[in-house]
Amino acid sequence: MRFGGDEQTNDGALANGAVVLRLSRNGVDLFSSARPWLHPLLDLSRFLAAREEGGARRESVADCELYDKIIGRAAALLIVRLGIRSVQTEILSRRAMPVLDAHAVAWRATTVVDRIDCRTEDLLADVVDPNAAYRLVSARARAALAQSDPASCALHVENVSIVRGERTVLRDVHLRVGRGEKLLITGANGAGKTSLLKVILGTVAPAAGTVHVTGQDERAARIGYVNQESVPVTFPISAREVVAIGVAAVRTSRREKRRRITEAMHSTRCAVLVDRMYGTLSGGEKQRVAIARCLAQGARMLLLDEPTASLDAEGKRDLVALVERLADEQEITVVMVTHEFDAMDRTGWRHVAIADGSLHPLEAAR
Amino acid sequence: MMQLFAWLDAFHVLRYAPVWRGFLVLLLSGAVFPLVGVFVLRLNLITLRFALMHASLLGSAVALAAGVNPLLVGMAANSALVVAIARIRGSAVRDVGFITTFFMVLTIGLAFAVIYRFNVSTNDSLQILWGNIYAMTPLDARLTVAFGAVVAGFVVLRFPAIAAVLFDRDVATSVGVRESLVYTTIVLLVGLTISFVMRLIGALLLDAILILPALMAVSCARSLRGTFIWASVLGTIVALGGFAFAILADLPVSSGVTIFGALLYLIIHLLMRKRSRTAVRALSPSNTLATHTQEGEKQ
Repeated sequence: MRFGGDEQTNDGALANGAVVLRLSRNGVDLFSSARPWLHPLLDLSRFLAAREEGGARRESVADCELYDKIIGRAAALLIVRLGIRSVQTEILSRRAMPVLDAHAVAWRATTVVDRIDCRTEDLLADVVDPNAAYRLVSARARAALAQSDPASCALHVENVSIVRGERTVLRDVHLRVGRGEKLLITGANGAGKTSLLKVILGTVAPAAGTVHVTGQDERAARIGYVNQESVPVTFPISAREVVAIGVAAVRTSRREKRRRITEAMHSTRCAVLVDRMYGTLSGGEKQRVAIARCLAQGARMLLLDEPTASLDAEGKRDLVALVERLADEQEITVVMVTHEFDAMDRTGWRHVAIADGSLHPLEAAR
Repeated sequence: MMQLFAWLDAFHVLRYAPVWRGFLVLLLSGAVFPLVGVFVLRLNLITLRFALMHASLLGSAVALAAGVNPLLVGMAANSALVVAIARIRGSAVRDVGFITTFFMVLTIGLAFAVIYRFNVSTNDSLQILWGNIYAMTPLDARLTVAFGAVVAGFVVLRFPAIAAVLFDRDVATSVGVRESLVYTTIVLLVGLTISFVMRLIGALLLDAILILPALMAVSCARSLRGTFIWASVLGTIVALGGFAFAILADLPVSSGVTIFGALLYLIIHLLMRKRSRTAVRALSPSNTLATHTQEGEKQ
């Protein structure tokens, strides 16, 4: 892409006549793209955000017109999120109409179809919040990028086999997880989910294969690990002390450590628990404290081992919402293993299942 | 009044250097060694503690047979055992349970074989089991003070890393703590502490100094830092009270410390139970209802 003045064009796309998305004002193109799927809208979102960060006046797109070749429900939600008020398309899904109409977006379409044959379209069938739609689409985009471009991976598991005793738990596992991606690994008890997490964490050595975690070095661990904790109820350790474990190996001043602990506890809304005994907290409170520990640590990746095991339905929803918020706000990569797939239904996270000693990619949880 | 003077007179034994030295070492041990007891409780090192006790017994038996300082040989035996366990743990398995059981059985067998084969006197053998604070040599005392400083320094200076390992060893690794090093250091300190406490009050009664104060501290404290502080304070009270009780009741110091520690544990246990029941009663719905009724009547 070439940036010229305040305008941006994609020369290749224009030359080939393959533009699938174009934003224009008074007939002057501001942005265009020929990338597939929903990437053009994501690119447009980043483009507008970058201009704003670069000090440019906030770009008002209310008076712009957007041409998008195909508009389904996902595209409609992203368009609404951008604040665009007028769109033109060749194919419009009936699922997108209520979204556009609800936000007073004027539309012109050559053809109207019942639905567009796209997995993302199905995933967003019931979603009405444009920000939620953006998060889901971004996550899927990052996942796709990690599969095609190893450099964008936060985690790269290659040919890993895990042997426990005489039993091969996992064989030749390949896994790529993109930065900021949320991955759900499900499987029955004993399938090897925790073993895989421990191999990623580095506390268990694989029998074969390698694990590469971007940005991980020995001195400054960037992986936050939340497990089914083994602290008995009677053992006295305060919530604050648990969060402080996150900065145990951090070399910085005491003041900075205190700041990080306080900030992490506020961020996960567990500051009120600061002096409570960790063992006496509810399951949900413990998970908040554990995640605060990871934030204090400065973790760029969260490994969550059955975090919903001791939570009721509301607690599970709260935990997922908290993790998603942190992942989106701070682009933290999340890998969660659970045997309770039902509890994680409709999260929209990429989903792989462990069965018979290998990983099976599934559609995103919905 | 006469009785009071008679009691105070009993403490004149402190004028003798070995008694005074033993008393001071006991006091220091009471303040410092329960910190190690917290490690034993949290990391569930009870089996390991038995193995280390037995290794220390073997070391002491060998020392008595050879006519050298039992404390030094006991420390060497325990250190060797800790190193062996750490190596096996690092190379093969993470769970040390079966290794410690093996060494526990082997070392006690060897200890009794040495005692029998080298005709170690019954009195000396019993000293291993009972301990004797008055038999502390100046070297023993200096070593105990130096080791106490090491334990206290380790807990104070490495508290964040210790907290991580005590909380969860996988989590400790994830935050960048060198878990294996901290864990091995802890086990080494447990081993050496056992050697020192055995010298003081013997193998059979060492829990009075090592474990009981830590157990009480766990009941009283609400944080890990508080647990260590409580353990140290209660250990000092047990040492001080136990010594006084032994002098007044004309008992061996090891017995006095153990009985006093057990009584204090019982009292604290009952107090905590009462506090817990009071808290539960305060929360019970019937109590809340009664309070509301009373308030309603007042209005």
